[in-house]
Amino acid sequence: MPTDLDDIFGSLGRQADAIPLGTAEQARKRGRQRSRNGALIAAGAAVCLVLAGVGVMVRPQRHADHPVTPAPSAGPLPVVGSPLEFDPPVRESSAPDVAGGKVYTAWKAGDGKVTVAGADLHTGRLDWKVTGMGLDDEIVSYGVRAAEQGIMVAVNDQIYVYDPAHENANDWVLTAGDLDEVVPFDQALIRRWDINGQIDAHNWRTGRKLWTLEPQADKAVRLIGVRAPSDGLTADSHSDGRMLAVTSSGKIQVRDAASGQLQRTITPASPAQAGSMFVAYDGWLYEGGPPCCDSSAYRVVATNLATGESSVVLTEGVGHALGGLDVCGPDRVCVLDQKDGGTSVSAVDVRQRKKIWTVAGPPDGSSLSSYNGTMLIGGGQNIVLLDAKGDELLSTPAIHVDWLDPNRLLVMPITGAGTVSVFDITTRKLTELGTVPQRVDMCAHSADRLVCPTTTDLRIYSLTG
Amino acid sequence: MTAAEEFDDFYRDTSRRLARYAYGLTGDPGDAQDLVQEAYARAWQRWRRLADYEDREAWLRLVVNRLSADRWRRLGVRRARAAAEPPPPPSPPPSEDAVLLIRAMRTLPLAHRRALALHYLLDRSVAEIAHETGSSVGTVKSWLSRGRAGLAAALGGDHPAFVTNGADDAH
Repeated sequence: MPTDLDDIFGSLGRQADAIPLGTAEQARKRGRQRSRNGALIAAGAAVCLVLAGVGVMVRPQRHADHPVTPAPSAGPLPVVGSPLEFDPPVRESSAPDVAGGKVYTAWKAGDGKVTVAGADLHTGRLDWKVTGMGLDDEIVSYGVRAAEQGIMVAVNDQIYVYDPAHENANDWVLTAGDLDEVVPFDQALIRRWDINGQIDAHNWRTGRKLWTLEPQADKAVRLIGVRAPSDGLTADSHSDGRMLAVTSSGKIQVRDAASGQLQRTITPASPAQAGSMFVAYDGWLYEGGPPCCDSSAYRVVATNLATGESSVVLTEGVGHALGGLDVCGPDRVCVLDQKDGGTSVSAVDVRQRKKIWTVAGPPDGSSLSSYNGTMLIGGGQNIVLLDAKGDELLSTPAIHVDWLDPNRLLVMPITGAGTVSVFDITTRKLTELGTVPQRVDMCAHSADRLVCPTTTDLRIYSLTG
Repeated sequence: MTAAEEFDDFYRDTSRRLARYAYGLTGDPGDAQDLVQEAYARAWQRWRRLADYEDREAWLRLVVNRLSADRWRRLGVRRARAAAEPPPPPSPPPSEDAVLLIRAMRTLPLAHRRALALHYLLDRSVAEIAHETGSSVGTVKSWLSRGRAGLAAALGGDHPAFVTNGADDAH
């Protein structure tokens, strides 16, 4: 055994050199697929957010990746209106997004330009369409993200912002770099410049700057919206009105999203890290991830945004990894821990800083999403639903599961054809609603509508019959 | 030369170095495979703009840094790949040295791992690491020193002290 670092790293380097890699063509194909499915955009209005490794989703992604065979007993799910047809010859389309009773999607036509269209979820009627965005470019990346306040269509580094009522003549364009953040708030569309930490808040309708936070020595490295209990399941809803800025030194600035005014600067018990998972909910900020300055695998920090009190409520050592984090009750945060291929889920009492319970999680689980104390653990071979005490309510293999409302889950295959079902959490009953045909991308949904793209059109299905 | 040909040349020239770096950071061959593919996929999406970048490899390492620092996203990358592509071929089993070093690297803060990977796996000098990370030379020296000390501690009694074969800047 050599004790020379060069020798040991040399051995590691030779090991790395033997790792089989994909081809350049596969990388290009993956790049095109990412553009098509709009996953980058869904994570935060612009590709920059994913590149920054930060994202703005307060709620973890909630899906696994395995198709199921359609159940022969279920008939086709009823289609609402006529399919929204992409203009031929369509090259590819993006994943749809739903907001304000409408669904939006974008596609790249034969001329390479991007078109975006919106349709009413309840009638299926096409009521808005804009064409000709971007250049004829094989590399163009694009996608749609919809919020109540505006529709954001990212085409390369341009973010086109449209009025959902389509009555505004002042639609505008924001140019954002690869590493910039663009975060929708109720009061403004807020952008952080990665280069210097400057923060600009834009009026949703006109793009006019409402306020600007000039670059500071301790620059902002992450923006976070605060969710209120009334925000429900919409990831982009931040009705609390406060914006949190994580600074490079690990402090938390609490600001009014409407005015930018600083309300409080908090020095957390452990400096906040830009790459962590953050959940800001009901006046608290929970941060989970590796610490800056010690060798623990990760820690979870709870910070009271009103008082500035902060404490480390959980620490795990070498060998552990944080798989997911979400609020799962008053003063309670639930944590998905990964270790040696297995997982466990723990509920942590924030005030007592101790685990209330721990149960085994699904193998390879990598996401946790909680609603009203009930938890979905996904990302592995099984998706598991736990109640607030950690008791298992549902374990189902190889499908996509998402919240419809506090008491119902949507259960369906990720892509491909398959059966769409609803699981009633109270009665623990799974009801098949019908089948959907072959799809090419992720679907979007509201409580009563499911929207899925095919290669040629977008179809709206009724979940209520 | 078309954009695709230019990209393929860049991939051929740089992907092995990025794999070394990703493996050094994560210690997991599967993660390294995924991170390399993901970084290049993102590079292809914005290839035209990247052409103007002074150091495109540094940009790729930045993507790998940020994905590897967040295991949640890393697993997301793997899930995305699992849904779209066949699994890559398995890697050969690591040597005993590599296993011990990987285990020891995992005990270190990310900044120390990053500095060690750049220095020992990619032969970057302290000054070059300082430039890439936007840190001072003194900070990088501190990372390397503390990283080496951490490795020695994690590797235990068999490794009382590491020989570095000269000054850091010799690389």
